[in-house]
Amino acid sequence: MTDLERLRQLVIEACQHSAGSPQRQRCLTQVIRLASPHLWREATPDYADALQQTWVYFCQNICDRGSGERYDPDRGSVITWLNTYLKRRLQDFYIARQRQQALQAPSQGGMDETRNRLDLIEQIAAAPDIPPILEQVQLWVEQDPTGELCQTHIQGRPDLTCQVLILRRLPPETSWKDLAAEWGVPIPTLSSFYQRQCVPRLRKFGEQEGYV
Amino acid sequence: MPEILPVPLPISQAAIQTAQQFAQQQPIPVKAAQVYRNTLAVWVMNDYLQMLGVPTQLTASDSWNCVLRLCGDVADLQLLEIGKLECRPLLPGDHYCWVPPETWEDRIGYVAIGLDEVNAAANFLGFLPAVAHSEVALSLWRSPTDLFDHLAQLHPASTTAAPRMITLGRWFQGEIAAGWQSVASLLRSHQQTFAFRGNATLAAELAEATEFTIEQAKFITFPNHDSIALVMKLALDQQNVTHVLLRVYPLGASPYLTPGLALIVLDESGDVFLAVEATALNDYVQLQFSGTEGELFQIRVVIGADRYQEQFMI
Repeated sequence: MTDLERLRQLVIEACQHSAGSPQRQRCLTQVIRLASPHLWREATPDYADALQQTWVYFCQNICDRGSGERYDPDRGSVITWLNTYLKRRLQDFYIARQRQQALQAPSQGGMDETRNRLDLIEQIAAAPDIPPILEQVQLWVEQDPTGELCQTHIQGRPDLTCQVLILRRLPPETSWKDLAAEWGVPIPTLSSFYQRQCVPRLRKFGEQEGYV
Repeated sequence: MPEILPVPLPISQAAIQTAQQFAQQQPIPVKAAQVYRNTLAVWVMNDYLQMLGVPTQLTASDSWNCVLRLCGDVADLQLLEIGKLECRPLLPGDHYCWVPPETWEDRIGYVAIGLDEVNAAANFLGFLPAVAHSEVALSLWRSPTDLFDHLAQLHPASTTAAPRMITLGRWFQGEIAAGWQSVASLLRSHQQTFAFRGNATLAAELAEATEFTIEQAKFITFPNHDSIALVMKLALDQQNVTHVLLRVYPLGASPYLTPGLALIVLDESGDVFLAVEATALNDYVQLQFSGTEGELFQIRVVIGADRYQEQFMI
C-alpha cells in the first residue's frame, strides 16, 4: 500500500470516531507521522510556526468544519491539502517580515535568528544578571521563619530535614546518587521525601512571594 | 520488537523565546541548559495535546513555576483533571532518556521528546505509564500513540456515574429546570447581596441583540473561588437543530475570570467535546455547538480543585 492510500484510510478511520476520542487521536497522530516526510520544506525562520499552524488547521478541519472548510477527499490528497495551507502560511509570514523589515533598519536579516540559536547556551551563560530567586529561596530556607523546615525530617533520621535537603538540591546541586551514598539512604527515600515534604512548601513559598 | 515511529512536532518561535527566558533566570549554565530543554519539551507536547483536544493547564505545571523549576529537574505538563505528564527531553544521539528521581512520583505518565534545536524540530519518541529509574533506554519506551488510551482510562468522566439530567426541549415549552433563571433576575437577586464588580460584564449581556429564543443563567458558588454565572442560550432552527451558546461570567470582586478556569462540554460517552480556558484578561469565556433532540451532553466548569457539573439532554 502506498503512503497516499494509507493516509486516505487513516483519515476515513479518524473521522468515524468522535472528536477527542483516543481512537481519533491515534489516527490523527498516524497521519502526522506518515504525511510529515511528504510536506513542503524550507529553511526559513518561520517554517516551524507555519507548520504548527498547519497541524492545528488539520486537526480542526479534517473531519468537521472548524476554523475553515472541511477537508474534501474528492478534491485532492491530504498531502496536497496540507501543503497548500502550509505554503499560504509561509507566504503570510514572509509578507509580515518584509513589512517589518521595511520599518526597521535594513541590516536585520531573518536568517540570523536561526544561526543565533546555535550558540544560545553560550549566550545564556554570559547573561549578566544574577537571578534573585535562588538567593531568596536560599535565605528563606536558611532562616526557616516558621521552623517547619527544620522540624520535618525523614523518618528515623532527624538529621535529614527539609532544610538540609533543599539546601543540598539548590543549584549547583549535589546529585541524588552522591547524597544517597553520603547519608546511607536509598535514592527513592530521599526523592520521595523531597517531593512530598519539600516541594509543597517550596510551592507555598513561591505563591506567598508572588513568584507564580 | 516492532519499530516505533516517532511523531515529528515543530518547535515554534514562542517556545524558543519562553525557553530562553526561563533559562536566563537560572544561576549557572548547566542549570540554564537543563531548563531550556525541559521548557521546549513541555511546550511542544502542550501544542500537540491541545490540537488533539486534550485539555492542558500549562501554567499550573511545576515546570512553569519559577521556584520549582529552580529547585528540581522538572518537565511536567498539567493535564486538566488528569494529572501531570512528565515530558523528558533528549538530544540527538542520546540512547537513554534521563528521568530524574524528583519526577518518579505524582506523575500520570512519561513521554520522551527528542530535540533538534538547530532545525527547530522535535520528535515524540515514546511513552511510559510509570518510571522508577534515572536512565531509561529508548528501546524500552512504548509507542507514542499508547498515551491516548492511557489518558482515556485516567479521565474521571469514564468512572463517574450519571447524575440527574435536564431536558432542554422542555425549556422551549416554558418549563425551566430548577436552579436556572433569567439573566435579569439573577442580577436582581444577587446585586444587593454582594458588591460584584464582575456584574458589569453580565449586565452588558442583557443589552446584546441575539437570535436566541431562550436565555437562562445559573448562579454557581465554589468553596475556594469566586462565584460565577453560567449563561445558556438556546435557539431551535427549522431543521429542528438546537443551537447552544454557553458563557461563563465572573461574579466576584474582579471583573475578570480566575485564570485557568475551564469551561468544558463532554459528549455522551464522557469524552471532552469542547473546552476553553480563561486567561488573566478574559471577562467571559464561551463555547457554541449544535445538536439534535435526544443528544446528551455535560457541562463542566473547573477552577483548581473546585468543580461544577450538570448533565443535559437536547
